Amino acid sequence: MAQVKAPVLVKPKKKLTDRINIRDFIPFIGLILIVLFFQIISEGTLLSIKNMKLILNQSFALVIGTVSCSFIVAQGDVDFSMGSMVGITAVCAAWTAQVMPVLALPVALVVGLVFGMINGLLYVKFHIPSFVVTLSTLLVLRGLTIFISGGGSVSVPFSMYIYDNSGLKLVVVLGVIAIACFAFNYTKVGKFCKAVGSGAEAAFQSGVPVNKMRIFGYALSATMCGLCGFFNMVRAGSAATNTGNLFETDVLIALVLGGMPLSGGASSKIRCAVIGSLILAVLANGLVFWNINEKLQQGIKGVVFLVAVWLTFDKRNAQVIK
Amino acid sequence: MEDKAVLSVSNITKNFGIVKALNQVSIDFRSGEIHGLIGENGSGKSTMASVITGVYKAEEGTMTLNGKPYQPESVLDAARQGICMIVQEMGTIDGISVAANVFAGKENLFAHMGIVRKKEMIRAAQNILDEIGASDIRAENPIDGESFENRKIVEIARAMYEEVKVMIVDETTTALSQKGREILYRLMNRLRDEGKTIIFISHDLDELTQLCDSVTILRDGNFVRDLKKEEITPDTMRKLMVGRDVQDDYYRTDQQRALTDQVVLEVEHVSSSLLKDISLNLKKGEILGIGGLTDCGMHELGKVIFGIQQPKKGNVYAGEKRIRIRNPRTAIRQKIGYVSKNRDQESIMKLSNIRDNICLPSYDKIKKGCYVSPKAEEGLAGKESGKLSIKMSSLDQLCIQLSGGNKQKVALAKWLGNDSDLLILDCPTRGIDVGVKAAIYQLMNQYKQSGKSILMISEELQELIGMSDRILILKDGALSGTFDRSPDLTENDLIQYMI
Repeated sequence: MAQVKAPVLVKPKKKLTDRINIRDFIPFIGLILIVLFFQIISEGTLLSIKNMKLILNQSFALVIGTVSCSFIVAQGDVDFSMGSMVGITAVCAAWTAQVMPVLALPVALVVGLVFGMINGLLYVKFHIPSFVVTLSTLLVLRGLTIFISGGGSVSVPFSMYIYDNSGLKLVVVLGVIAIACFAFNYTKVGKFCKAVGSGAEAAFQSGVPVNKMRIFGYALSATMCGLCGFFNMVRAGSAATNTGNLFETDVLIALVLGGMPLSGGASSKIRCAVIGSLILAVLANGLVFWNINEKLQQGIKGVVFLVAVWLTFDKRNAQVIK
Repeated sequence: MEDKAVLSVSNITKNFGIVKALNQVSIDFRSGEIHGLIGENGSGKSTMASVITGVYKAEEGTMTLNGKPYQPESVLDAARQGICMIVQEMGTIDGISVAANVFAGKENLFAHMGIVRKKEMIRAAQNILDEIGASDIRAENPIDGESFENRKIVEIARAMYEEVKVMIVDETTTALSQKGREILYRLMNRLRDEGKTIIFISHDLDELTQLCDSVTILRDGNFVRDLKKEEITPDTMRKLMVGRDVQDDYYRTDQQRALTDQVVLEVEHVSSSLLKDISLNLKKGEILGIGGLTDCGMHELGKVIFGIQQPKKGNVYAGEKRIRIRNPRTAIRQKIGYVSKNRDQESIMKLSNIRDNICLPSYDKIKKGCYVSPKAEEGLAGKESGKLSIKMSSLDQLCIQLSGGNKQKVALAKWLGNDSDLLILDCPTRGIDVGVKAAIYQLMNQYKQSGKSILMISEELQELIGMSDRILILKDGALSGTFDRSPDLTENDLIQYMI
């Protein structure tokens, strides 16, 4: 009996060490540490119901943005235009809400979809690198936002405030995460995105519609920016020229903090997007408890970002990053 | 002619993984000679040039230059010691003038008080161009507007101003028209008369005969023979280049031709940048071999057939319904699979695991609704990798960790798993060790026997003769010969149509 048992005991152990890479868990451990740290600093206020609601509201757009941006990053591309995408959709939704509140959300989504497709088409048809395209649309759309908002802010009818509801947001955010996880891991769409990131030419030669996947990625990301823009607008009660400012940097920082490889490919995970967003949200929220001067917060975010990259990026693989 | 060697390499060995690219090769290059270096594809001649110019380091062996030990650290180091190379690919710098290209790195010749006198430089460059017979290239023009051929000539003009001791010309002539060749020949002759050494790598046996003072033949990384001026004839060179026995048991032993007359693939009058009006068809249960020199257009033909590259003229049709192939997706729908010559970049995703690579074209086959279950993936990848006995730790292993042969097996498993009826294999056994090679040949044979078809593009003549039912030879982008399977077919027969 003992002879039979021995190999059975050894086998799974070997497999575990084979498959588990400690670096995969650093973001998760980081999140726990950061929560514990601020929980102690804030003497328990961090995890109070009231503050958790606040964190949910603060991180809502970020989680949705990073999760949908994952479909682009998995392909080895980036979307710098997200901030302006939130801005333009919010302003369009606000104008619509003044006339016909019911149409505000559909308009936000459709405006996002259209500009997202434009992003994708510019990238695919004119062979302009994705970061140049989206950096340009970041500027163009910000200009457009300022123009159609008349340089100030567009207020929203009072009836819209019913959408600023934590319960609703929780359902939406969990729904988005669930659908994204399924699509990313168990459907052709997610697998094709990762294949493009692993090697666009090899994917193309295996029948992956590479251009379609690229356009899809930008369309998805921008449409979800429309969703963020809408909720942003109802929370603020208005849409302004600076709505969504620097959203794209927060998304990228969150992705990297979560351990998402920016070169894309098979090791991309939705988990990275969610954990990264939570780290960034808890950090921003917690710094307030720590009585850190607001003017210093941006700097601290930067330092945390740098340390996180240093800890999580596998230097052995650095050479294969495009 | 002096008899002392300027550059001698002795017992050079260079391995690429399991492949011995050079095995204990020794050659003496004398001053005042044009020394041809020839051999089939993969015989090691380009590797030798790379070792001499410091691109690669040899694992064993020594080199001496003018009697002193010579160990180049880099291409730059080799150039500093007087060894330079004109290559097949582009070697000019964009964005500056022709004159600036000719004198790249030597601007000091025209510097007065730190300012380069452009007019003087342009005049000097024009003089050189006129001298070598390329007066139609204007030295003041930007290089970007010049044709590929003219750029090559500018590169040659630049080489004239180098303080060269040894100049290596690597298959440059394939990129040149007659005019460019004449200029190159004239320059080579002139350098020889000045007592320099030229190492000339070429496939063109006529030009070798005409130019060379001596020729060294390599085969499979081994030194075969040195030929003196009077011994150099196309025939002797051809014999020595090929001269090996075909191992019979390795390849197919039957003399069977195509199993049926049913056409599964038709290429109609396809022309592209390299191809000239190619028409061919492939039958069910046939292995069609396509051979030629590397740059004859056969690799492009494979890409055109699979829809990766669009032909300028002509069409490719597949299947009974004669569906036109426009892109890889339409080809895959017609149950065609393609394995590229450029395995690591195009056939597999190196940084993905074996499972994802094998399943990639087959998600439509294994999904239920839109759900692709991990179990179904595991099943397909497990079955196919098992059939081909891919050596791996698990299906989660990344392809980058596999050997060349196993990577190729993954690329094949991908298409077998997708139930392809027609495989386009571009150099299916390139850089693969003998064991896996035999396995792939066996697989190809079984595939044919089950009534499926293979279009095999290969640079290895033995492989073509050993495996194909029919062989088409391409030369300069056009079909130059067709051979049916026959035990009497020799490599010499094929080479005549290639060169």
